[in-house]
Amino acid sequence: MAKIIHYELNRLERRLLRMAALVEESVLKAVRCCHDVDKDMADDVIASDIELDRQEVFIEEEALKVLALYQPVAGDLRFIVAVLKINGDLERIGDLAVTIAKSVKHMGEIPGVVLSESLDTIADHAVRLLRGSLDAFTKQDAASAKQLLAKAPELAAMHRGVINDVSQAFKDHPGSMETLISVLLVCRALERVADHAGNIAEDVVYMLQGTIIRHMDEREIERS
Amino acid sequence: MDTNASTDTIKMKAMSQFSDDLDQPADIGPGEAHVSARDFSVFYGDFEAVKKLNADFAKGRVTAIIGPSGCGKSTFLRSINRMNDLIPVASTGGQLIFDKLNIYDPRIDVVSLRCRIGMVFQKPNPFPKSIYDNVAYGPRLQGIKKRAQLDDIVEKSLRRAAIWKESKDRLKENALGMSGGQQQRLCIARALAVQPEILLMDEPTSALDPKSTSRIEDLIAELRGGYTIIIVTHNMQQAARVSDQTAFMYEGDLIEFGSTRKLFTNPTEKQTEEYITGRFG
Repeated sequence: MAKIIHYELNRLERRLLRMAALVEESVLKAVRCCHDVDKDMADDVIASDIELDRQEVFIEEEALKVLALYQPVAGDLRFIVAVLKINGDLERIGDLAVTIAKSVKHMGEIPGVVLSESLDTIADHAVRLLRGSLDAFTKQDAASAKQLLAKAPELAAMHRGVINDVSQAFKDHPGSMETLISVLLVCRALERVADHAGNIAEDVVYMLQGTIIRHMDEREIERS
Repeated sequence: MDTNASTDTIKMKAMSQFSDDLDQPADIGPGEAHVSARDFSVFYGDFEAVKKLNADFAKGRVTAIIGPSGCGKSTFLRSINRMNDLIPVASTGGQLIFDKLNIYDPRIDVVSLRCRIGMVFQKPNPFPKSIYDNVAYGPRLQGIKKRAQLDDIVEKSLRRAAIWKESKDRLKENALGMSGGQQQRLCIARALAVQPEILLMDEPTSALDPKSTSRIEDLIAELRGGYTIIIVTHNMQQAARVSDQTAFMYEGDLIEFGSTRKLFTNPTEKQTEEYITGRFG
């Protein structure tokens, strides 16, 4: 039976990684279509969400099957719990990519180079956090997951920067109201992507160390 | 909309069941030691089957001992009420302390020790006597002769072992006519009849079907608190379900001993992790 459960766990891991790759691609596309204000690409992102939803349900069903049939313990149990939670976070990230894509559909040219650059910065940061957390899962690396969590506060400052830029743009370009509101929505969605990436990093630490670090401060996390 | 009404319903639901447990941690600390092993070893001739084991078994708690076949878990369990005395080549080293005395102290009266430390075996082994006589056997040996007193002990023991309902109308029938699960609960009732403080269980459900197994596990949960229970089991899920503390043994060594919740979610030792996740053993 030990062989069967490890075979099942391996399949589950591969399925989650496939889902992660699709989600990452969706976010990258959403970011690119936002940068280029490419509405056709936005349609692609929106259409691809159906597959992500299907994968999410499939992975959850498989994880529940392994729980029911093999009653995993210790590292195997923590792995399944992490898969279930990461799966949920990935699906939400997929939804946020759709939010970004839908916002792009209401966008015109982003007014001002500064705003466009601020949005790129926050997008880069969100994508880096997402990639980093998925890398930490793949490489089973708790230390790098913890390092990522230390970077999360940078995002709040970036978000604040975009809001300032948008406020200024409201004054300078009153005709671009709809675009600017869309920019704010995109910015919020990117911030949420980074939050979910942070959740994934926390789940990786739980999976590897068995410690729930969700409500710990930076120093406690370092010591854990 | 009356939002207070739904909040009240939720509160009532939360309070209605298990409300005492809601704020308690799911596992409890080690507690006061009832039996303590200090560098305790068991030898079969030159072979050291249990190697200098150190552990405290908490009073009123359920401790499970797990490990692959031949790891010394049953040998250790049997040594707690000196069942190994029956094996000529068996000898011990170190100390096994119960009630401030070494169980292997020459002054110990083994018969009264076994009254205080009862045992339930892998295969139900009722005597070929009536249900009543099985339970009354121990108390009679202890010198209790009054019928009313024996009736009382038999009823209480059968009730405590959750088999009174099924047996009260057939007390005079031969115990061998009962099902395997009933026989095992009868054996538990028989062990309880002499009012032991500790109950040793050596794979008590391995010969039983899932329903009987579940009844024995429920019974262990009911007896918890009143008795110190030490159970050897091959069934890891059973150890996780019924015990407060778990000991993992391998090749005579105690590898890890701690709270069951910790051991089954995040064991400290790599060997424990590998064994309970089926990677070896």
